[in-house]
Amino acid sequence: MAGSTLEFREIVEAHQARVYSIAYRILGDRGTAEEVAQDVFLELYRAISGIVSDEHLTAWLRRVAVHRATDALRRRPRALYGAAEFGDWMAKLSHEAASFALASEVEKLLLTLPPTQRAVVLLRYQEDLAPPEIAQVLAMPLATVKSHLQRALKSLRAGAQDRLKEYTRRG
Amino acid sequence: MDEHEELQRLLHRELQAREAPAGFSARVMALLPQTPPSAIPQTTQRFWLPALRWTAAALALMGIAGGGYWEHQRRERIAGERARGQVILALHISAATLHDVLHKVVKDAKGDAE
Repeated sequence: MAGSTLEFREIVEAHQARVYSIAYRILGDRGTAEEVAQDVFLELYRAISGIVSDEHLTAWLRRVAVHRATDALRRRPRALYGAAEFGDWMAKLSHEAASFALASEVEKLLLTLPPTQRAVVLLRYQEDLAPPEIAQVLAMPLATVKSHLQRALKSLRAGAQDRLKEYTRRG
Repeated sequence: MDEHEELQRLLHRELQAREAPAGFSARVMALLPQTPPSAIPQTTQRFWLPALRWTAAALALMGIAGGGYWEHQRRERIAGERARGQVILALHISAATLHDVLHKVVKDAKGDAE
């Protein structure tokens, strides 16, 4: 695949939204998400000889994007990605706060989940993968994927209700 | 529609892929190395690279084994030559001792006869 630079550019353009969205929604900030997405495509460029089909390419990009974004998240100081501290961190960084304000409520709620649950939710609802496919991408047992998904949905539902109560109180 | 389905519908709708920042692909292309990853046809390269690696490893192992065998033979030969030398020396010593003893016996016999 991608015998020339031109073909590689087409691949980047076709998949950049997917890769960037995964990185952005796992990390919660645009700058790091773009860096991670760039790294994913550079890694693809080096590994392109091993890609045998379009399906393989998509699966490869999903897997590497999730892993690189999760790695980047874990490299941050612990306090920066905990659910409770997330708001404080955003308040400290004004330019990040601006991008946070643009994010949808669902994306904000997503950032309150632990990294693995974020990845599972993204693969299920952004990438529209079934639990067995998610298990394959994340190399984890199907039962674990289902359990992460259930817990994530429960947390999201609770988070959504809290936000609704907050709005009602303010209103 | 129950609460669970409503949440799932919301997630599907809100988590559509976002557009990458403007100029993203150009920035990625600018970061690529100047030469393509490989000029060799990929299938050939994938086939030969492990084969070459295994051949080199096998040759190295054979070299090490051959070297070990040659060194073992050399030591055996040196030890054999040393043992032969010791046997010859021992024989020389025995011959000289026998000669001295014989000489003494003959001398004593002559003394007794006189």
